[in-house]
Amino acid sequence: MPGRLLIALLSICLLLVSLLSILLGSVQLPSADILSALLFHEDGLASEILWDYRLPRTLFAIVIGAMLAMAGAMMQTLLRNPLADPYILGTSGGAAAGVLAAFHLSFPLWFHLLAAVAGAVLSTILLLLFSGFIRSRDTNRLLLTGIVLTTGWGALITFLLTLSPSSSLPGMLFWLVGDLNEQASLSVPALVLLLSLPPVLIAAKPLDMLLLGRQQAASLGVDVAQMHLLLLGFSILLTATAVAFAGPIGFVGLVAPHIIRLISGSGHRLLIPATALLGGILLVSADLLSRTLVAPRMMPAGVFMTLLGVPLFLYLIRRQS
Amino acid sequence: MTPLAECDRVFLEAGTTRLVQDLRWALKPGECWGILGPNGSGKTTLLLALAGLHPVTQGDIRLDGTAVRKLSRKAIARHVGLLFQETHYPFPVKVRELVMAGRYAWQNAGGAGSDRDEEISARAIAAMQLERLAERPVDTLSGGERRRVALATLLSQQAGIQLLDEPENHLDPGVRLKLLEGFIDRLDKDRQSTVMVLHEPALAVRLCSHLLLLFDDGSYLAGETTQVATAENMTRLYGTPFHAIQNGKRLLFYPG
Repeated sequence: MPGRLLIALLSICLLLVSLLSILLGSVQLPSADILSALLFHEDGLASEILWDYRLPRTLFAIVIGAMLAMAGAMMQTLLRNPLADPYILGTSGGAAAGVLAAFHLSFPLWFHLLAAVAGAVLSTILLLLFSGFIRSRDTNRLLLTGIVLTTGWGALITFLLTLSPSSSLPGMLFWLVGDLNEQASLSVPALVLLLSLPPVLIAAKPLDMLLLGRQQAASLGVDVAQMHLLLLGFSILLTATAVAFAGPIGFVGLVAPHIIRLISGSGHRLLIPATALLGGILLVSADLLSRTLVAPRMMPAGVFMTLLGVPLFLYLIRRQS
Repeated sequence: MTPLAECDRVFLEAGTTRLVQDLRWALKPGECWGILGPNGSGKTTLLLALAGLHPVTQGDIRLDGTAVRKLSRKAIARHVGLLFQETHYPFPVKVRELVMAGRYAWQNAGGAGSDRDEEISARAIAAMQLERLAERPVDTLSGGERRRVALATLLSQQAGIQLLDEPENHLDPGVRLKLLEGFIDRLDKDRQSTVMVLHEPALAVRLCSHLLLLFDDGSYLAGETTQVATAENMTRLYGTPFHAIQNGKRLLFYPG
């Protein structure tokens, strides 16, 4: 499929699910009221629900989904493996443990992002150190190490939770499975996303060549170390930011790039923006389902992403071996 | 004239194993060198070191007068192209795309391929008779076809030095000579040269103007093929008796 057509189709899909996402919710309102509130910004219940709740939430879901999807695509290029994903490899878990630790030590809110980055960096270092992946390129060992790290972070998180005051438990538990209820701030994640796109797009060509293998890419003139640093740095930053603001939502980074690769191949100039758009679509849809399916109760959006991601992951494992 | 590549008292190691020792060797345009040696004598490591992909323990490797370690990856890729023993692509890549990737070293940061790049890679595809396979993913091709794709990528890279690591792998005995001769013929004798690691002395004698023998103990012998290719040297090289037969102009070696 030509690149422009794919981007256009994905943009239309994103607009449509976003429209649904602002029209539907636990409070039932006539669509006409919502649309007129959107266009004319009048006072009233519809306007309040739209501008204070549904629209920020939808935009937040788009940004977080795009970040996680991009982070997944970049990790897959870095490790030359379509099974790589920040959630499966423990990066998200490390970031989440960092955030909870910062919460416990009563650090200020802005520090949570730094704690998430620190946790994600630590987890990635442990992953590369213990899997020996840089030398051996053994995928099984990489996945196994990632899964064990995820389990370890999970235990640490449970430990931190048991020490928490019971009043803050429900909020923390929701955050841990990916919660879009508390859109503390849209601007920081949006800024991180916008800052990450240009350097990755500029490096699209050498990133494509990285998929040929490190030595082959280097022999053709690619500065492999520089590209690895770029991928590692931005995938960690994107993952940590998404986790700090929305909790560890799994599998967006696995599902979105996989679908785009099936449609249009692995060229990064198209893969990165298309994956980001599809990540937005997926997370807005998951959030929409979580708000409407069991209304008036709400389910964390991460639950649906995981239900979608697990079968795909199992299928990919089967195909790879 | 500055040689295309020059090893100045080079020592190489792989892990803790000492390989090449005190190598002094120079490569000039138009030459074709064959590197022969027993397994583990450092043939592949020497190729990797020439491409800046393996560090030298001591000494200097210079490309066109400049030390490899002072050159950027892109600059090295304009001097040196490398054909690897084995290639495997878990993410699908088409023949045309891979051959076009050979042009990367000559493109600016954005890496948009110009018409000239398209033309050069199309010529390389034609030279290796890959037109029919141009849109196929490389991983779906046979071993021999993949070799031709790798050679076409080298042709489009237009580096001064072509390093070939066991290029005869996966090629039928009937095809290998013609294909490799065809490849060497396409090079510009005033600017380009070839260095290949081979396992078959007879093939090296047939293709190469010069030979570099790497012995087990880290010593070496370099010179024109006519001087170096003797049964005595092959016997010393492989540690087993070799005999030579002269059949017309062809020289053959066989062990035993």
